[in-house]
Amino acid sequence: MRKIISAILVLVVLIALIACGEKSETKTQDKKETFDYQIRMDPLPFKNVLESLRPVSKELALQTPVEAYRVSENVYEQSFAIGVISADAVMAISSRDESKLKGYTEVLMEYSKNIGLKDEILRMADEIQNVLSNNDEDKWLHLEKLIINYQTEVELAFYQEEMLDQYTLMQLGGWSEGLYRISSLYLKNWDEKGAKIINQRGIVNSLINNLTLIQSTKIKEAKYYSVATEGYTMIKDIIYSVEENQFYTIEDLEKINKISAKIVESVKK
Amino acid sequence: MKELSNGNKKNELVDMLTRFYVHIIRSDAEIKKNEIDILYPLLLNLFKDLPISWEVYIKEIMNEEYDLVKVINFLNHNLNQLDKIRVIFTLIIMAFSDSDFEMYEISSIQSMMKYFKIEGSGYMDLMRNLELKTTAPLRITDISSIFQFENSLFTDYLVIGRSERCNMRFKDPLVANIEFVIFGIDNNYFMIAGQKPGVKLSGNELRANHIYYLPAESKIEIQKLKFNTLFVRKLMHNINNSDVINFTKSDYDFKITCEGNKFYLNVRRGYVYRNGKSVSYNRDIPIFWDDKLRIKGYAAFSLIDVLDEKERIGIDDIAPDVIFLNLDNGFYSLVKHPSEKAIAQIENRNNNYHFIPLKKSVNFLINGEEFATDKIIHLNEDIITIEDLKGSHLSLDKLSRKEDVRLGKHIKNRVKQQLRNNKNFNFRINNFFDLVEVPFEINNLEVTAVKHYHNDKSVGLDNISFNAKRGELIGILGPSGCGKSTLLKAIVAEFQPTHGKIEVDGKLLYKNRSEFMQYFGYVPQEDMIFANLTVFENMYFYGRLRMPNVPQNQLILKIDNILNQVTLAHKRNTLVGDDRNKILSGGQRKRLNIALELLFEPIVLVCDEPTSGLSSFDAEQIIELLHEQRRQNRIVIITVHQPNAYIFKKFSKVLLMDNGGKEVFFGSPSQAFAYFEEELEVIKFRKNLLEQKVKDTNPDFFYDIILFPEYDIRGNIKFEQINQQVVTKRKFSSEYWRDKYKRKILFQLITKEDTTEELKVEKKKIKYRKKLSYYARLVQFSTYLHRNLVNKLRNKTNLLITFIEAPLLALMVAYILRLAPTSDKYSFYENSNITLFLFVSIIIFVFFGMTNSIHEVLEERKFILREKVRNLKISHYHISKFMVMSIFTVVQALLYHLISSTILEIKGFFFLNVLYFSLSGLIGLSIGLLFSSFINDTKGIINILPLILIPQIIFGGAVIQFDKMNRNLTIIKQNPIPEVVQTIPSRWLFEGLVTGYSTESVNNKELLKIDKKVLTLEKSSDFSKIELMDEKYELREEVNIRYPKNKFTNKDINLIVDMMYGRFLNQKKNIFISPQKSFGGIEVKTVSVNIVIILIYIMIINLMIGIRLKYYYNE
Repeated sequence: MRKIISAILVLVVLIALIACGEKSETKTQDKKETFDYQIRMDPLPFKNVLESLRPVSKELALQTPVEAYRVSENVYEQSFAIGVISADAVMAISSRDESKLKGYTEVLMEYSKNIGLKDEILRMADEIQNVLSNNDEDKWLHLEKLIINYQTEVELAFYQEEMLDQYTLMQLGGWSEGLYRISSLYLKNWDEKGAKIINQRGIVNSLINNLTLIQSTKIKEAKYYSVATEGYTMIKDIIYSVEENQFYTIEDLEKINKISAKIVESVKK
Repeated sequence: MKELSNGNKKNELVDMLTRFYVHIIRSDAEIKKNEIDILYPLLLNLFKDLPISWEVYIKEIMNEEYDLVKVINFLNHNLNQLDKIRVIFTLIIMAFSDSDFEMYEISSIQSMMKYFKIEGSGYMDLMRNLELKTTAPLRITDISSIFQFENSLFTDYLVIGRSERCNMRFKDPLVANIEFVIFGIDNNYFMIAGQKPGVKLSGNELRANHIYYLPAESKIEIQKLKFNTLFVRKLMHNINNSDVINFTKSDYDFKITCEGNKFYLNVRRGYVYRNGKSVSYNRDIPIFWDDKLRIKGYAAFSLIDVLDEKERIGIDDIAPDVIFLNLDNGFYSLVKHPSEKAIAQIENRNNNYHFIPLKKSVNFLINGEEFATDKIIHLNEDIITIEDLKGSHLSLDKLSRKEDVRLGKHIKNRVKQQLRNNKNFNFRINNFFDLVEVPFEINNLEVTAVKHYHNDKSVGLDNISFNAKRGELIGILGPSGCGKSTLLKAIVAEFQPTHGKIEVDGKLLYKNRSEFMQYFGYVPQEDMIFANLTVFENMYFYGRLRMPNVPQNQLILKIDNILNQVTLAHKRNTLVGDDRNKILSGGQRKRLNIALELLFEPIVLVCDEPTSGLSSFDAEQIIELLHEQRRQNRIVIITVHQPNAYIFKKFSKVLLMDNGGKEVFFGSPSQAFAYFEEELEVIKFRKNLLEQKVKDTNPDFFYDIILFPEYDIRGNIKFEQINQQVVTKRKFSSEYWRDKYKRKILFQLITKEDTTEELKVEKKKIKYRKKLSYYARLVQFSTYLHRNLVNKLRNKTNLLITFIEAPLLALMVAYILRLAPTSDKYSFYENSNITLFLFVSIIIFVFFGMTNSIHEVLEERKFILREKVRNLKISHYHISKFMVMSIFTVVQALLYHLISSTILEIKGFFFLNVLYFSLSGLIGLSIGLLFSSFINDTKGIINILPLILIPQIIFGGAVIQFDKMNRNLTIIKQNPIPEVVQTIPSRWLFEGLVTGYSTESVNNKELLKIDKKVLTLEKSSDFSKIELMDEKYELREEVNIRYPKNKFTNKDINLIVDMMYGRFLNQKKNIFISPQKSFGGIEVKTVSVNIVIILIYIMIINLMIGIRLKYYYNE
């Protein structure tokens, strides 16, 4: 079963990569003269990764913080935070904690306004509100779908607005938070097969690639940038340190946990 | 005497001195009148500051026996030198006050002097001078110090000098601090010269510290100021007096307040100079006796002149020798001083007034007849016609050409208009020397068979017929509720009676209502005066409103003249006061009401119960005043409930009315008594009483006979039931009286007997008063504005509400809603009550507006109706009222914001808050005015308040969510908000303000600025996208640091507004509390749209008020 999932994941990553490549091409066609042609790799939305964690989703949800992740007024950091909070939101759904979700939404709305993605996030917030106000049994399922859909819309919006650096930061935030929470969970309830989920080579590679493509000097000069670049290189090393048919050790997972925690903490206010 | 012998030395001295004086007077065999005359002021003087009256005191010592030696001994030891001298002077003056003084009196005085150790030949000289009545001043004796007056028992010292202690102060440094002191005994005055006297007495220098006697013609000279002993008498009289002297003319208005001999000047209008410097307005400026005062355009004067001329100040010549008829800027006026503008003069020669034309270019007619050089005119009667205005037209053009004469465009227009509208001007000079325009004469006012049914079909007037001729005072008498006031209202065309006609010189009144009514003055029973305005202001504002074309100075002259006529000149600047605080007496109020109408020179003056509620004295004065109007050839018609004989005789004709609006009698007062003889014959009981009343010409007789009860054979009054009420049965019913009178009329008609002489009624064209120019309308509007503003500012309750209520509520609401939910430290950002605060504030302001305005129209209903009848632009009234009240609302909004924002730490919303609070107030104000114009009942209007206010709360959007309201309220079920909500102003106000707190925060506005800036850069510069993004984010970060969201925005409001914006985007339709609204694809800020919506609301409501007031606001 796990093999099948892994195969699907890889397939999805590949499709995403192709799709992403096409998008960038289309986007940049008009501005060939002024805009450097770049290939940004769209990492797999971690929700898909989390799909594989469904059996432990409740435990994972409980791990998400009560207070939403907050950063300074720096808009790049806020892009990172959107990723973190979105990840938390997706993970938190299983806990059925409305107030937690509302708290996340509030901060998401605030940061998205600063970045310039106000409309998308506000629409999402309204829909979340609508879904939450219903007493449907399926409302949490709807909510999950909703957040994923909007995540896609947000990503699209980043692309459309050519805010690729912010997009990378959001991915970075989302994946780092996901990695941190997943690793924390498996460290508590050690399961070497389960821990194999961190072996998302495509994601790590695409993140490392995208980080190198960041153009903003402001980001490059920031401490979190170097922490993340170094961190993901180390994560890649750990991931690649075992063969596909082998398992990671607790130490490997601890290292990944520390690195991801350090990345998330480097931006946090 | 405990009061005077309680150890206080001064009191003891007064005690002893009184005993001494009383003993001296009583020691004579016969007490002389002149001695009492001297003693009386002395006692007043001595007892002035004591707790006991001299009367009580004298009464008591008269019953006591006391030892004179002891008294004199005490006085000798305790009186100071000056008082001893005064005692001696008193004795001398007493001795010489009559011709038959005795020698023993002189020897007694000498022994007293010896006892008091007062010596010197001066006293003997004084006695000699008094005996010989010498006019030269006399030096009597020296004194150790002039300052002894400060310890004197007497208080009547006139102290002259520069010092504060002086009651006649000078400013000149050459004058000593205390130059001299004057005191008086009887009518004799004595002067104590100071230490370095600069004063001269009849040209002679004085010795320091000496006492001089000032005979009647002594002249005192102090620096440049000279006065004589007669003036000293005025000064002495003034020492304990206080007074206010008003100096009022068209070009100045000031008062001099006199406290003792200290004077203060307070200028209210015009230019008044003190020693060459212009005096500022409304401040009490002390004036010194050597100050030179000058009114611009007049000769200089000093305080000496003020006291000298006091009898004349403010009193115009009652019968001037010459007055001049001036033509000034197209308006005619009478003035007392000659000028180039004079076109004629009126000279008093042996009490005959001669009219003498001064300019050939103007032709005059007296009563339509030409005359050669001069003609005698009769005041009040003769009509002076001024013909040929070409002359004035020419002079106008000439004036315009002159460089030094600038005629304002509006003045020229006015004159041209006057020239266009009129060929001749007719005037009459009344006995107050006021020029009264007589546009046309009304000879006869004929009321024929007027019948009127009220709305409930009851009879208000039942075939009333009478006529009133020029120069007649008609009294309408009758019991309460008989229809007197209804008849008057029909005469002043407030309504048109169901049947019958009223004609003015053969012309139907109602057909020419608006023209005739300009010449009708109506004084209703209730006061038509503004309580918070002065007598003058009431006249001025009304005058300006009704005669905006008349220049201001002429209007003021006219007002002053009329105030003289109605004897209210002395109350000119007094506030009128309301029912609770009646500053003017009932009679004065009524006179002011009449004066208001006289201002417009009515040809017919109609007064409803002018004497009601007044004392007989006041009532008689009012009748005198109205009688005076009759003398001025006006038709005066009044209703009187119960006149006394004096008043009754003053009527030219009386109309007696009975219940049900029935006419009982019309004729002269003398005929009235004879008319009822027939009925007097048939009554048995109380006959003598009634006969006596006839004998006394007591008008009570009419009521007695008209309402005479029916008696049974035992002499008991009979009763009957009428309209479910048991009432006294009348011997003669109202129908009886009506029929009797109508029979009389019929008889007269049949026999062609008519007691009234037939007047030749010349059918003249009614002269229209000028149509209002734009300038006049502007004057009218500004007058309304001014009147409303003054009225509001004088209303202490209103001021208190404005300046106390708003801050107090702000304090209360803000303090209660200052919530710090998560930590001890309060932050505006975290306060979840801000939304509630905004809603409560809106409701408060709607309430403020309503409470401020809901009584306005109702309270001024009578004025509005009066001004409507007078063809004043009621829209001006309405707009000005709204504007004045808006000012107060904005002030309230400012105060409310300042207090509440300080407590709640709201930053950056000054303009938004003040704007929205003011708009809330204006909506409330408009609604209040609307209801005030529709409801005619004070209680009803109070009860309506919750009915207006509660929907504002329920449908405002903050208390109950719209989707949680009864769905039956929504007509179109798809609508998220019930349609009724959209009609509620508070919903728009709340939405606008809340969304404004999100979109108009400093933080948001600054961020938007950055976005715009970056967008411009993006289009125009060579920066790369990434560079621009970096720049943008850096700037945004700066803004967020400088104006952090957690200080300049509110979390809850941001959240709800953002959520609603999300819904707006999702549903693609306008959503409540969404910061954007879409109209035909165009997106606009809700905060702005809602302002427009509220303004439209205000306009619509005010339009409704305007229509109501203009077309449907009637009695």
